Amino acid sequence: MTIRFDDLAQPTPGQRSLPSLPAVAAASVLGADSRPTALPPSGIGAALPRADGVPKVTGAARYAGEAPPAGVLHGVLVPATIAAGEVTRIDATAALRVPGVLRVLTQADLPRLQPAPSPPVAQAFMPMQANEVRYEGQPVAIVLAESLEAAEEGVRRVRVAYRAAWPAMFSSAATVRPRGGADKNGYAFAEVDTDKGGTPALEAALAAAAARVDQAYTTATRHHHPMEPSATVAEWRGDELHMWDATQWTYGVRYGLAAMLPMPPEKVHVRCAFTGGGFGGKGYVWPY
Amino acid sequence: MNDFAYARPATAADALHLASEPGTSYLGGGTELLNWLRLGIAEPAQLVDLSRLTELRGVRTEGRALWIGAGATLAEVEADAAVRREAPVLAQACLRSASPQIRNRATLGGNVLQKTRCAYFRAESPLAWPCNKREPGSGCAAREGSHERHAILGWTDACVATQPSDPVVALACLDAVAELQGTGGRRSVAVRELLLAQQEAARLGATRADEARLESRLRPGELIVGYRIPLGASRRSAYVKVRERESYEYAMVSAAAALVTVAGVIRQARVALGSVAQRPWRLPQAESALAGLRPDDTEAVTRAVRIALDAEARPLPRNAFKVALAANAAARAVRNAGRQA
Repeated sequence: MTIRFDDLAQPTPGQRSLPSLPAVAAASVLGADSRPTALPPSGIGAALPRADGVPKVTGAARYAGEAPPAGVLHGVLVPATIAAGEVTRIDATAALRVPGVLRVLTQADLPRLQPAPSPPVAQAFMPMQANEVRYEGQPVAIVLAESLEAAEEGVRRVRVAYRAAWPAMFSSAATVRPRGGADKNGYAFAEVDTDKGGTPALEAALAAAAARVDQAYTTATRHHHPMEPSATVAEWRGDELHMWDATQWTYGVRYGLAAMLPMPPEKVHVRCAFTGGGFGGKGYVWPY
Repeated sequence: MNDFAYARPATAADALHLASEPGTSYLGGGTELLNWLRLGIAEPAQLVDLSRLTELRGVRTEGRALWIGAGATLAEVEADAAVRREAPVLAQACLRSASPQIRNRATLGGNVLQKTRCAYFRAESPLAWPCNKREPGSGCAAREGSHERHAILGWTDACVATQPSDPVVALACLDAVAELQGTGGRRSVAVRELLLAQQEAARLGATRADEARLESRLRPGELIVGYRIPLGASRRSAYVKVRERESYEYAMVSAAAALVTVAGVIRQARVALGSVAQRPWRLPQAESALAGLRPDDTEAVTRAVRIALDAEARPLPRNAFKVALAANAAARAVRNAGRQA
């Protein structure tokens, strides 16, 4: 079957009309005789305003944590100060005395979640389902207050007692067998890419050098650091959950939560109009 | 931060009276104090705002000395014609501090009393590591941890922090005197002795916690009214700040030098190092050795400073490079001072 270009030029209902191909060719950079002509009226090379440029630059863009509904409570996480072990006691009396602080949630207050599907959830281990601590900074309690400032002050005053265990430790120079084969992806568990020995010319140059530096340098692991901090607002409307989340994957949040809570995905609504940077760090669903 | 009372008295007498209430902090420009409140480093029950006090303002010549009120901002000090002419090291130190916005608010009184930038100390509570300044008796994470930016002088096992003020180094070099006022009256303390290194805090302190937490000789409720800088011998002075970024960054090390030269030869030298201890560090042995040298004889100057520094420096396992860096910075400051008109 042959397709005639004139057929394509007829717009189907709801579509923009397409320019005819001969007209496009006539206006295109390389004309029929290969001489450069004017650029086409739209498309590559045209100066188009970025859709989110003006709102972001003027501050009109609203990010996840910025416009919560009236009557919202603020929750701030209490981070574990040990890297491995367990929580033995949480004393919230001083925190509850801070004006505005209403409750301090511990693992005993949280529902038991279904195992988290990973992906979209970033880690299989869910904090605050038991007393186990697996990493420094792991949430071990949540302070709920009428303002963010009161919640933050409350976090400072929560007293947590731990039984600490030795965390796993390894040095970057240690030879660790890479997971799943010799994948040279640059991660800690991959074999370090090194070259040993040199050419005679290199050895001679080193021997004749005015100065030689033989030193081991370390650099911290890389770290996503978007300007927008992670924030989530959750509102129940009847049995439907409405969320505003700082995420690069709203559907990931929806299906991850639907699996964990559990509840039907159609009743989980996740919005993220603008993300203030993510770089992949907001690509998965994190337990915050 | 917790709730606090706020007062804005009109006179120093009123301020001192308010400060007799325990748990009171003075508020100058607020560029340090507000950080402490946010991080849980300080939890004052009352803030006494000093911005109305005329006694603390002004930069003026008084006889053979320059008087700078503790309420003068770094921007005001740096821009003052008399400071630039008679004590350029102080103008340079102020200009290299912080950023223009911060210099417009930060006061010379508050700047001298700022706290260390040690990352273990400056963290938000709850801390996941020991810090004797934040939690007395818990230990010092920097002692065995990341201490590349920490002290090579004056430290103890309880605390190895440095204090990063630039102006205080210049003031120590200039033999400035701080005038203090408390409810007991007025007294003067040489700026070079106003702040305490940990070894000194251990000797002077009343409790074991003081070794890491006592940072100056100020008594509770005492106010810095201003600084008096003797004039006449400081026109040839300069400040060198060694840092990874050229602006809006603290020093790795810094050096202030002030020279009296006759026919291009050093007759008298004053050298102070910064960010090598919890207070500015004068080098009297180096100062003697510099007499007779030319300021641009960098090799000889560096050697003299290095010998003096090696005699007392106690670098930590990972910051020995600061000794060489400090000696080189001092030599550069001497050279720059010699070129100052």
